[in-house]
Amino acid sequence: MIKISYKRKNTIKLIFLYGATITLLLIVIFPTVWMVSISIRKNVEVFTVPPRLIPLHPTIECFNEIFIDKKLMRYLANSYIIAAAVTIISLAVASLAGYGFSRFKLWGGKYILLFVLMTQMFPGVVLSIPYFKIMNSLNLYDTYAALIIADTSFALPFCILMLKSYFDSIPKELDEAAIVDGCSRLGSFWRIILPVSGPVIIATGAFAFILAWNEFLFAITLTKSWTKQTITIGIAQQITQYTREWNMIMALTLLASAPLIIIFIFLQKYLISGLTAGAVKK
Amino acid sequence: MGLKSENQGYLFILPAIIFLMFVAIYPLITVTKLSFFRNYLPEKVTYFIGLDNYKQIFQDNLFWLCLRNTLFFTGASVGLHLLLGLSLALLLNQKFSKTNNVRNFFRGIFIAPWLFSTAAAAALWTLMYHPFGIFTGILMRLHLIKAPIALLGNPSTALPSLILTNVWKSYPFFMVMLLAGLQAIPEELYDASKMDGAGKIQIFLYITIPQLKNIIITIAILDVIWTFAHFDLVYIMTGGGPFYTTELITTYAYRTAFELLRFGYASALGMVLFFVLLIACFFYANLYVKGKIKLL
Repeated sequence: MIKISYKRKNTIKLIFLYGATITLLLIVIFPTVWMVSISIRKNVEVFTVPPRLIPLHPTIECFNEIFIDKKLMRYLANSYIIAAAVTIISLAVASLAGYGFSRFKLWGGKYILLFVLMTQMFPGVVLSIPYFKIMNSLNLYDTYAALIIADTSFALPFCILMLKSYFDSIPKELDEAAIVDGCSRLGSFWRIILPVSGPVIIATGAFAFILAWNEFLFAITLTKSWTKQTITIGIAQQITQYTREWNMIMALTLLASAPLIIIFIFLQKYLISGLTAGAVKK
Repeated sequence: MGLKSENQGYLFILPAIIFLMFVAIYPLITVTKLSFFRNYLPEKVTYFIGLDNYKQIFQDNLFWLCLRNTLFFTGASVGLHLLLGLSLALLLNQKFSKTNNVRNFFRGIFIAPWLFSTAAAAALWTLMYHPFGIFTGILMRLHLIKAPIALLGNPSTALPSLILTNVWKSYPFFMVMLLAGLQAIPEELYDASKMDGAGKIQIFLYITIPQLKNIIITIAILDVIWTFAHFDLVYIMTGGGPFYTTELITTYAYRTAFELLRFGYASALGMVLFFVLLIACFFYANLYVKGKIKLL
């Protein structure tokens, strides 16, 4: 065996590491780059032979067209409204429930929690049929409320799980001390647990927001007018048309994904650590 | 609060439980009931027909085709999710530089596909799979094909193409979970095994993988459940075509309900799907309750 110095071995290993990572990165990120590339093209340049990565005449005309389109802007607004509502409701209900599961010895608690998780397992399609009928009979068909209720039903179980896991990792002595000092249970929840849970709450809230924002099945099932429909429907509509302007569609998907990307960039640290904080006990 | 302090726990979880009762349990009961009825919307009457819907399902050739497609779609997706997730997690667990900035940067970028909605990913990949799109362009450059092909319109390439899109869209979740699992493995285990003279492969097989057992089983079962019930991507990109090669149980049930207006039959289809998932659920719940695996 040739004697390679430790430092040399380390450098080789590092080269392979970077090489492999960057290669995989380029492959995986390429679709995203392609999306951006198409969104800044004129229509004639969308399909070129051979395919070019950088268009000859980049333009932002697609984005301009989208911004002045009332229908598309309304789709975006609807998505924001619904996602925000889902986030707030989910966080409120899930944090209370997480606290309850974490700090109290509930009779059958393990099974109730399992039941909560099980509701996550109901396939969307299976539920879409009764939701359609129920919302119709409650006169909630084609309303914000219908989508908010539906989306919260998905977001809630996971949020409860995340928050409960995290609350479990906060030492019980902390709120027990507050209770000894005369604080009520609700008070210790509000004043002790919540303030130290900032990152996880943000991560959980972001998760609920993203879930509601990306939701598609219930959106098409429970709404029919553009004043209520979300941007996911808007995008899907564009694809299934006969004549498709792909540069517009890509620009639209970029705009639709922008809030999530922004959330992610700012909360990246919180998101990754929040997602896994409760997940793994060190 | 009139309750003793210890019992207040029930009050805390009450809003969540009541809400879930209404939005999950009640609809489930409704659809279960509906599966035993004939409910064709244009007909004004709905009547009980017992197990007739289910009998019809078992004789429905399209159903069995959907089941095959769904099994293939799920198996391939879950397998690739785990493979790609584990590879990236292992890769991104290495030391890249003195600080962890480079590594965190890479981790952030690899999460990117997760940020796009299924609609956005569907749009993007439908474009890439277009006969004049980038994939055909590359395949032709490599002289693997002679003329443009519509990857989503070709019966033999449609389902694999959808699988690829699904893998791209969802692998970040698995990467993040496996990364968390990797980081939870105590350093001492590695140090001790190195001192005992274990090679890289031995360490991987006998330390890393066993330590990851919990996480792998959990996310694998979750993924099976999620993918089996998957709807969005397939519905938007191919709508079940071409020639039913990408028709999943979910898309079939959906179209039966909202295009063919046969709510009774569609409910039964949904229940069959749900039943299959229940089996997977009970399997997982059994392991959980017995303490064999921890929740996450």
